[in-house]
Amino acid sequence: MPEVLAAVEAGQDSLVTGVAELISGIVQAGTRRLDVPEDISQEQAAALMLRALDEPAAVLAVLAAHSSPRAACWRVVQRARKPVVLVPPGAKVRRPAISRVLLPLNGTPESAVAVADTMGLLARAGVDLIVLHVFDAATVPRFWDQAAHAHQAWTEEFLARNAATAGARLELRSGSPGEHVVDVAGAEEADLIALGWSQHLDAGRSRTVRRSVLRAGVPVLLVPVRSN
Amino acid sequence: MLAGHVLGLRRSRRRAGRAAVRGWQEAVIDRTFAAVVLDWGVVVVPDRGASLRAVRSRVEALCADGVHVAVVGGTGCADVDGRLRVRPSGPGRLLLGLNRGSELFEVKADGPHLLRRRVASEAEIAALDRVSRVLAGTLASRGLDVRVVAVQRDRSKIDLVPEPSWDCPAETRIGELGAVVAGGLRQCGFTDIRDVVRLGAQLAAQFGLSDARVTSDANYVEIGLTDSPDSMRDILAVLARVGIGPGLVLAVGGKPGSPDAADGSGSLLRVRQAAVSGGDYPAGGFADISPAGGGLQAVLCLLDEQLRRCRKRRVPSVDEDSAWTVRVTGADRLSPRAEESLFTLGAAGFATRGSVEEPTGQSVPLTLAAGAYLGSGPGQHLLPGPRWTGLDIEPAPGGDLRMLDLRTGVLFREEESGNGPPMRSLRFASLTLPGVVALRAEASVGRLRAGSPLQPPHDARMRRGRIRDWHWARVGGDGGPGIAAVAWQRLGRDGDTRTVERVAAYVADPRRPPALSRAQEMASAAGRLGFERVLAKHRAAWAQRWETVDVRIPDDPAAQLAIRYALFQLWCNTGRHDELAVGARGLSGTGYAGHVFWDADVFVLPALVSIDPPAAQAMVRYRLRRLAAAKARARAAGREGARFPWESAATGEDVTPLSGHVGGDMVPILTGQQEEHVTADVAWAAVRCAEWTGRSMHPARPGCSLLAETARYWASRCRHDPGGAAHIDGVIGPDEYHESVSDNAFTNVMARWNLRAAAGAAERAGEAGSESRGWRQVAESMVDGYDPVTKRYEQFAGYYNLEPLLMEHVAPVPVAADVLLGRERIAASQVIKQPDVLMLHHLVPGEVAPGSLRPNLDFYGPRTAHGSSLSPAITACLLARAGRADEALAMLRMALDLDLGDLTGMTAAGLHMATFGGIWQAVLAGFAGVSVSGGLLRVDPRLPTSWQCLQVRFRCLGRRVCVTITPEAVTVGADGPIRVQRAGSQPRLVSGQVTFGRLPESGEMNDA
Repeated sequence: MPEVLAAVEAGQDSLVTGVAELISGIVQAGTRRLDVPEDISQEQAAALMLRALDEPAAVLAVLAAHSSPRAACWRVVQRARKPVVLVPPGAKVRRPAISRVLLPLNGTPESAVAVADTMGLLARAGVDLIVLHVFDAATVPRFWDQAAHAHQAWTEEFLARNAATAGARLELRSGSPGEHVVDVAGAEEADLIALGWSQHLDAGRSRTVRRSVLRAGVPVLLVPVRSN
Repeated sequence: MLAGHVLGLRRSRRRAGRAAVRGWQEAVIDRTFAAVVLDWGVVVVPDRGASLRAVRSRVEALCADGVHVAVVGGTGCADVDGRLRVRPSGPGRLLLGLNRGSELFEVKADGPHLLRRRVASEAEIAALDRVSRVLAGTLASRGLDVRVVAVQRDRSKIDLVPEPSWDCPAETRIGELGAVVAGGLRQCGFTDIRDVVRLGAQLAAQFGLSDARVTSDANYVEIGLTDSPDSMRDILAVLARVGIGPGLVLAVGGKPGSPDAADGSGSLLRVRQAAVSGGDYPAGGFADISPAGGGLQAVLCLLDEQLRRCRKRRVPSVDEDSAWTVRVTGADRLSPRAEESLFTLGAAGFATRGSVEEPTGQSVPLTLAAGAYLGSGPGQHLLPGPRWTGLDIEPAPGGDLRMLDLRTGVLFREEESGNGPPMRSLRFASLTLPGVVALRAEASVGRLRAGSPLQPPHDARMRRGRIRDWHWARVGGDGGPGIAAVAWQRLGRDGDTRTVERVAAYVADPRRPPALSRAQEMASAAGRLGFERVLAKHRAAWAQRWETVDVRIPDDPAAQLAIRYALFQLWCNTGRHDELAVGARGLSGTGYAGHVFWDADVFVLPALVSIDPPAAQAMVRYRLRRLAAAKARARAAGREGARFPWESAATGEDVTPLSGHVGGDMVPILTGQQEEHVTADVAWAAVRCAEWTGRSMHPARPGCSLLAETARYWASRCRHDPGGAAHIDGVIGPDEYHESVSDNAFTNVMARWNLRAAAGAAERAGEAGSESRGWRQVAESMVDGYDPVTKRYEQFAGYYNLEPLLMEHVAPVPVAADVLLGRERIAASQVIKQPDVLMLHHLVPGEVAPGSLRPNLDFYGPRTAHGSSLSPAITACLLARAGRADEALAMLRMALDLDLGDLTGMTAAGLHMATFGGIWQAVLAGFAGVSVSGGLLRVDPRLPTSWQCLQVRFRCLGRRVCVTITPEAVTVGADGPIRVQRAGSQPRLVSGQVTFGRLPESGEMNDA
């Protein structure tokens, strides 16, 4: 039976396991608890979690997020071949179930492909999907003709290309993606943020990832671009 | 691309030969051709005395089914027609290309008619004689025994083996003869017979026959003025005039047309060739073609195959000419919805998106009718009509090739992988039967099912039913617009292949349900003609269209194709000659809801008037019929005259939405209230249409009342300061980054032009009075922001006080700068969305100061974000006029790629009509420098460095005009007298054609 791995460090018990159970409901899997000893290094803790995640039954892992870049969670997300949910300290899930998910997409085929299966899964589970696209220097459209009409044309095509799952709606912003992910997650009262990413913490998109994880106040599902 | 398929067959017994040929045909020639060319030598070989009844019956049958047939031979008409004795009843034609390319006949019911004969001049005859004598003398001096055999007046022959034993050898001895000749030549120091041919060609050129045809046979070298490929060229030229390109021609014979591409004969390379001669037929100069077998039997099988394919309603082929086809394969797909927009087909005010036949989750199949709007207010949108292209195909095609043939207006699709017969389809919107559309499709039996020929549009109700074999469907009505369609379809089978043939006829009415009877009449007319004839007439009409309007840029085939694509879609998305509303995305998608903007008046109409003048007049009629609504709108604003809306649809009321988005930011929309230049743009378009078509703005004509009413509006709109200067406050110019500005130069100068044009029209009509004098006074007092020192126009009052931000410090252009930096930031800067002041130099160069184009280009160019799809093409035109043609070309390429490369990311919602209009204006007015005013056609070209030749064909002043520009000369030709002026010279009346020398390019077009 597929399993959601809840990697529990000291003091993170209810937060991580709670989120793991919510995620399990969506992916229709069981949960398995992995207790991470306190007296091991961050590297050893990461290795322990990665080994458990690599087991065939594990479909994803849920771990606590830490602000320190040397924390085990960041080592895990950079190396994991499967999705990982990072739960920030004090994260809140507003509803009894995960019912609204924010999916930031930068419009590249890679990011769309990365979260396509996740989107499908969430849609089938009846989750309200909100796609967020932020216009910045890299993604700003070349043309925006009439403000009265361009938005509809652009939105329809963006969703068709990147989030063809029925029912997803698009929120557009301009500026810093990281900032807007946090803001929109709060404004829309999202229960979860799902991000496809390259697993490179030194790349530009990593700022969005770190900011989302540490500031959004809700769990963040990180889907490696290579991941199925 | 060498498209010939050359096939060889071994000689075999008759029954085995038939089976072999059939298998070969099924495997290889899986195409349905529009014309067949027969080599007479193969038809009569091996038995020259045999009856040709079998050939005759097949040729007559093919012609009756609409397939054109041609015969190419070395003998004369008496021989060929005397033996073949075909008397075709049509619609397919029978052509005879005889006497080695020197004569072309068409055989009709009453016999052969000479179409063309190449007659040698006395000088040419003398030259031929000299060439053959000198060549024979040269050969003899090297020890070869030869004899000159003068056969006809236009050729001479040298027999390399003049021995009686080799007179008229049997086909079976041809190989032996060739060996004798080769041996003799080698003994005399020649490598082979090709050496002799080359020597003959050199001598011919030396004696003034630079275009001589020097060929060889087994034992002859022939020098002539024509040869068999000339017959093929003549035949292809006749077929091209009815829209049949070389790729639709099957040539059956022993000696396919020359594979060399000299003299523009590259078209020969696209002819499909089947070599079916028997025995050791020499390959002549074509070393890569294998001798073949099968002979007459193979010919009959090929003809039977084409007859069967016709009668089984197989999908016709397409001429895959890269100069005329837009192709998409699996490797280079855009988004499927963008591709659907690109493959839109239309005619007569109806258009259908190029969606694939089978239903997909991604598809947006749509058929729209011009002017049929549903809803009210800003929510008005074009009514979607019944869909006619849907088929059930299971499994759906995987990889496929989709090809839009611009020359014949058809969309072709062919599956590229899979087992069994590939899925194919071909569809078109008839150019000769308004509202009629047709398709054929084929796939393996069990995989293709037709389904209902008319299906409901997405999210809309449709009523439907059947009357005997006819299906009907209707949408809309109930007090509003309606679209109705009647269709029939036939299912068939050809072996393992299922075929579907479907024809539908559409009618629309903007106010009420259209009568089904009209649709049924059209569908019946199509039914009586049959699919093949409807397609044939459609192809021929497109060929005629391209003969009148076209662009040729030999040095830039990519641009040439993209410009042709722009013309194609302008035609497909317009096409009505009664009243024509052209929405921003035409009829190619739901984008912009079909609303009509200034795009139509300023970008589309100037192009359309040069390619389809009645359609341009229909666009003016659309505005004229909404003059009452415009007057009501002016009254509502406390003004006089007529005030046209920013966005218009069914009634002429303003349908501009009140809110929208810039990027993700919701914003109030002020264009409906403030972008008032559209009123002058509408008047300008009416005048442009009149000027270009050579019709004056006579007071009796409705266009004059439009001019007067719009002038009245401007006169009432202005604010006069204590000094008497006229101002226009609270507007938006073409640059929509800056709102609520005063004295926008474009608005003010267009208003001034409008006032002066109306006053002038009144004065010419003898109706000058206080009102027209008042218009002139307002015009004279209009503030325009011009500084004679800098020669620049300030875009609006206070523009120079804004932050002097240049685009090089913002982002590479084109870019939606307001989305990137936010509206407020951009509004506080000098960054502009698109040409604003510079639009004056494009539209009303007589209203701007001479010599002011370059200073304003230099100033505003670096400040232009080009964040509007309207911008690149017009900028290209302006740069060309300013003598910066290479920069202009770079901008033109951006415009050309806007939809074809989906640069906006929004082509899925429809094609950008204003860009297409701007492209044609950039080519015609920009690079070719064509303008029309006062009944005079002016030409002042500016070619980019990489274009050594530009030819444009267009319509103006009631004429069909062709302008050809090279570095040395400008040639203007017309189909009737026309006044022409080359810049720097005096106007002259031209009948036929005139050539001017090119002058050095200097100055701006405005500097008169």
